[in-house]
Amino acid sequence: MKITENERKIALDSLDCALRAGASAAKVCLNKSVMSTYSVLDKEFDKLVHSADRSLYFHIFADGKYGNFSTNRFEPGELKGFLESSVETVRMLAADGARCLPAKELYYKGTSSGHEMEIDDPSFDDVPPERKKEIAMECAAAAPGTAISAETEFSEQADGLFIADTQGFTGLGYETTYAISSEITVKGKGNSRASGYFWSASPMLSGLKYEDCATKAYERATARLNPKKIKSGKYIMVVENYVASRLFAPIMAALNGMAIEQHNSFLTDSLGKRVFPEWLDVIDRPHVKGAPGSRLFDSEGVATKDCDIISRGTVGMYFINSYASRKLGMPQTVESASRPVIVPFDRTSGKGTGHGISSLDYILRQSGSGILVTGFNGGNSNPVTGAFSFGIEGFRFENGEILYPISEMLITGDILSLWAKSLFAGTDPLESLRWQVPTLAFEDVDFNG
Amino acid sequence: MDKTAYLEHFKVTEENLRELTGLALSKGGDFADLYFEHTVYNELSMRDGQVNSGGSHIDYGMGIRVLKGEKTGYAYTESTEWEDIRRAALNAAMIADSPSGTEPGYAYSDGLLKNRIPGKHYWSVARIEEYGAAKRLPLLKRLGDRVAESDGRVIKVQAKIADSFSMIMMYNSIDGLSFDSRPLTSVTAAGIFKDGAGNTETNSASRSFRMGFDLLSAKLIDEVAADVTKGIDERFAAIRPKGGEMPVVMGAGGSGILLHEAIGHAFEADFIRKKQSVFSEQFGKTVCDPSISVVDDGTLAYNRGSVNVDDEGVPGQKTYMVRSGKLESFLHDRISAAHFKTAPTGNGRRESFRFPPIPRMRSTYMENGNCSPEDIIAEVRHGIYVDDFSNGQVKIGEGDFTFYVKNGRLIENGKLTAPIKDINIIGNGPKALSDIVAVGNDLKIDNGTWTCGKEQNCVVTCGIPTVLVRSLTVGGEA
Repeated sequence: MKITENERKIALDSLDCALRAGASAAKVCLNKSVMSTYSVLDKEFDKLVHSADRSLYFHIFADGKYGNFSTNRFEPGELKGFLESSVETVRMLAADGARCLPAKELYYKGTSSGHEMEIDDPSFDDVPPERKKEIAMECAAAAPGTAISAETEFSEQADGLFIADTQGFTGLGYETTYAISSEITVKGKGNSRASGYFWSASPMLSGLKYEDCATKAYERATARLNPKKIKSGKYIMVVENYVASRLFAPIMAALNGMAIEQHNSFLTDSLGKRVFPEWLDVIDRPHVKGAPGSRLFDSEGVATKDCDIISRGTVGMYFINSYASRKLGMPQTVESASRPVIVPFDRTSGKGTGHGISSLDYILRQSGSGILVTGFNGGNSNPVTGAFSFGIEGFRFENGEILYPISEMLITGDILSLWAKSLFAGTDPLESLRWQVPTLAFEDVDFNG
Repeated sequence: MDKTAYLEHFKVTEENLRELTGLALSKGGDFADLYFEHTVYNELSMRDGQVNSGGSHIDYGMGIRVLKGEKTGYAYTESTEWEDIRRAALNAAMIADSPSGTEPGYAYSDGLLKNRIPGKHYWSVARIEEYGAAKRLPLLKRLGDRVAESDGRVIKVQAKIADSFSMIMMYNSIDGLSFDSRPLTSVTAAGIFKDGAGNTETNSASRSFRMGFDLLSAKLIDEVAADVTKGIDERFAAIRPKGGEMPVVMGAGGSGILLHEAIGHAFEADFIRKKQSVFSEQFGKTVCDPSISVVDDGTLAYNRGSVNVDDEGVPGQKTYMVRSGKLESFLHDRISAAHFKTAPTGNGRRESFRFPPIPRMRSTYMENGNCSPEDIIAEVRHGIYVDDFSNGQVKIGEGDFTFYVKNGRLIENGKLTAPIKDINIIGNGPKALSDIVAVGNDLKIDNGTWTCGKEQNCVVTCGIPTVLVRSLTVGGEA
């Protein structure tokens, strides 16, 4: 899947068209993607979905005013009318002096073939549909017959992004993703059921581990049979790497410049201040070849670079795009993290990066007794205060050994206090995820059951 | 608009549609349907006292589905070029290349839909785009100003008016042609408040209906603005309660999220067909007190969740999921209805032409009981009262559900006392349903911007009278 010369020409011509219609500046993002999913239900092929999308997303500036518009209609005649109408709409709005394109010196200035980050599989178009179907069926075949329901899905997706603006910036990026997932349901006592879910993903088909996906989903389902409710109280909480980003996401949202500008963030006025524990370091590594999330520039064309997001507990940066920069009177950074990494730590031994492997087993052993969280069930956090309450599923563990599943439990607290009591960040983030969040552990967490 | 207008709009003839379904079935499929969509979405946003952002978004395309037994092949195209459409049909047809282990079922409900005609639960007398941005601007400004002026602690206001209008045309190999025009207009506002001690709080409100410009009145705008500041004093004063299992009184309206999460999803018949739902073996059985009836309704006038016809061309209907305590019906699309040899219930819905339809809720609510809300609260010695929610979630197999409470109050000795906020509630669907021990006489549908995210986004609503659930697990201090 490639963005063709003709499609790029349409995007570039549309910028000229917007200027002729009266825009003072404009930016266009041409998004294109193709995706196929192959679903298997109880070892029989169940669903095949093919999709192919492309759209043009415009940011239009006129008379100090701003609007955003999109269409999936690429016919030049229709586009001309659409853009003229769009400029007319923009002119009806109130002026906002903070709206404009980024300063040119911030742009990524290298060449951009779209393949620099090596996160697109060159063989994407060459794999025959029969092979993809075989992968789904091979994965599904591993599901034990005792499952009452076994769903497996193989998906492949290719995305392309072409950005251009009237200051002359152009950039191109491609990414592919292969994913396999399996959801197994098993029967428990009476009408009760337990389900287990497992997945794997990779930018390259050759990197996709699919053989044991259904087996692991089945193991997870059976492990969850006959759960117990345990007493409310304060426990050590270990959070598996598959779901740990749930506790990291509120921090990333609170660092967003627009949230800061709107006072909709519990990290307002925190830049340069130590609000997290001194053992917490979060860095952004946007240029790791072959790693999902890596990119040369953000959606405004601003060049990405390695940076410290949180350094020894001190907030090192907000994610500030051109609009937030002008609204806040702060220098522009990037609009969001590309591939943020939580640097491993072991508060119990004082060990940091480079001191061996600390994955789930190690952290359970070191933590002694508590609750291992393997999934979140709903919940939310207040963006202004950081207060959160999440439903969880997981297991009781003692002396590092998992004992039994727990059900209908909640954790409650606030994000800053939670991270102040963090014990471990492991060395096991999932390579296939953009956010590199490993197994985590926290002490004195309020559990309700 | 009549069928000619739809055919002309999508640049096809009925002969083309027959040819396409024939092509889609050419590899041995049993059923094929076509879904044409043209949606125009507009929004205007106000921030920092000015209407300074706006936009329009066009989405146009068609999807082709082929069923072989219970297997689905689906493809779509954003093009109206005949060759692109034919290619999509052939892609979808590939599903029939696989051997089918299941029979075609009940011919996808042929015959069971006779005498059912599309409803008229909404229509647009005033397509919003015909009024342009100029007429909406003063109303949005009014909304933002009303919020800003309502409370001295307001430091930021965001407000938005969004509308969409979708032309939908469907054709299938059994029932032929059907079509629908779907307006949807939403008004939302949010405020950030800061008190003298430097504490900040946020609150938001919304209304959404299947209406056009006729929705937008000064009265509605003022209602939404008033809801943004409603309860903000309590929010500043609110505490986190001590958590644990306790009785929960769920106030009328948005508490309908209990029905959506605790039972609604588990009644969606794709989960039943796959034997994943905790209710899979409960059909016809008593699942709760006989005073309780739960409905999923696609026929409420102008309701965000209503459907004149669903996205498989099946007319919308009012479906009793639970009647007088007995499980009466699951929520079916054509595939699950064929599997269970029953009629589809008009729940086959999709986000857009990019997705095949699956069973989805519409407006899910509980019918009135006999108790007064005051009597229900008076019954509780120690518990909580909740009526303001955000998101929820459910695990279908286990039936464990959660929803997040933005605001509520403690109940002590039958009286509402200290305000509480930001807690999650967790329970088990079948148990929570059987634990409803009192139902109020004050049914209210919540007309906020509820959107359900099962695989694809779908607009819904929910409602409930005040109810008492004997025991749920409430988050809070341990």
